[in-house]
Amino acid sequence: MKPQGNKKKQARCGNGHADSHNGNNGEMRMKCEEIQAVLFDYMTRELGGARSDLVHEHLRKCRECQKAAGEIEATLALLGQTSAEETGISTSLSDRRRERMVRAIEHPLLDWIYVHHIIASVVVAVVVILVSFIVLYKTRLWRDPPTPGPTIIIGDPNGKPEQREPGSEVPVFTRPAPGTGEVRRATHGEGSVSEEK
Amino acid sequence: MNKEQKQAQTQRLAAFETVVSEYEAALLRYAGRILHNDNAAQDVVQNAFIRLFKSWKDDMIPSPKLSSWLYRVTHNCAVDYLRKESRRKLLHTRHADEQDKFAVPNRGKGFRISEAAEGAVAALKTLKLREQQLVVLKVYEEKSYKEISEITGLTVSNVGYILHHAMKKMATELKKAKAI
Repeated sequence: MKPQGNKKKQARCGNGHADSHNGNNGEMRMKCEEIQAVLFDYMTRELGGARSDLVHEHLRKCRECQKAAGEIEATLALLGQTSAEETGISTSLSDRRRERMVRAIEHPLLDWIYVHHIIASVVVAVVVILVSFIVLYKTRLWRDPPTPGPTIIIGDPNGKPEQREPGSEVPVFTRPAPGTGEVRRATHGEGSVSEEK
Repeated sequence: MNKEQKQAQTQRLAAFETVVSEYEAALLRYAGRILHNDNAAQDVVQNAFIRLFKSWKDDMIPSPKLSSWLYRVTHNCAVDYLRKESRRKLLHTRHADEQDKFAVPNRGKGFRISEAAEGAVAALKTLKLREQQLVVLKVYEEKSYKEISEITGLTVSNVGYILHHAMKKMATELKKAKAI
């Protein structure tokens, strides 16, 4: 075997062994990288028979891959020490959760309101405001009804400008009374309007 | 609701109870490992069971298909929970965790876990959520790659690839912490 070939194998395997890479013709040749990529699969029995045998054979000879396998094994062992009970995880649902499940199944609407209580509150508030508005609009509680009464016209209703002496009383005309056609003239008194025909 | 409908509903409820008692422990373990919080795990598993009752159309009999469905829904609920929480308080607690990643928390007298095992749990937390999910399913729930593939929707080879990298990362973290 040429020295160059050995160097190449050392670079692959890291510890200088050559056996694992000297597969016969037709036999699968696996590098350390390939082996390490499937180490976890091998250790958790997910690797198929032939490949598993190859990894097993490689691990017998390659110290670097043995080290990598050791690290994975140690990690798995540490993870295994933390069982559910030890980490404080419950093994059954609490009574409160069970009640909630039954309520969700038997009363889906109530459960929806319970879960989406913010949306439900907003919807209820909007509905209350709308209903109040409609009721107030229909009953007209917030505005005064228009009060009917005589319309006071200041000036001549026939359009003639009236000549008045300064200081004289301002004539006030009211609309004709219905059916009479008369225009009634009123004059300002003190604090009241007096009428004359 | 007539008498027949009531009877069918009662039967369905009884079947549902059986499914709950069959899977609640495993799902709580799984959600607890992902969320690191028992209360949150209870909420998530409860929601998964409610979804099961509302959406499961077939007979409610414990089966591998039902189990995969429940794990998938539990995981999705857990992811939703983490997203919501991350906006509120997890940012704060994770920041605190990052400050002292391998510190052993004080959990009282009854707590029997070793410091090295605590390190392993802390190393698990450093993984991405998908990696955590696969490690928990493989190591703690002892699911096969095929089952994990059914739960996650990943291909079997992808499951192996992600797990390989996750274990490498964890081993590196544990070596840094001198736990292995």
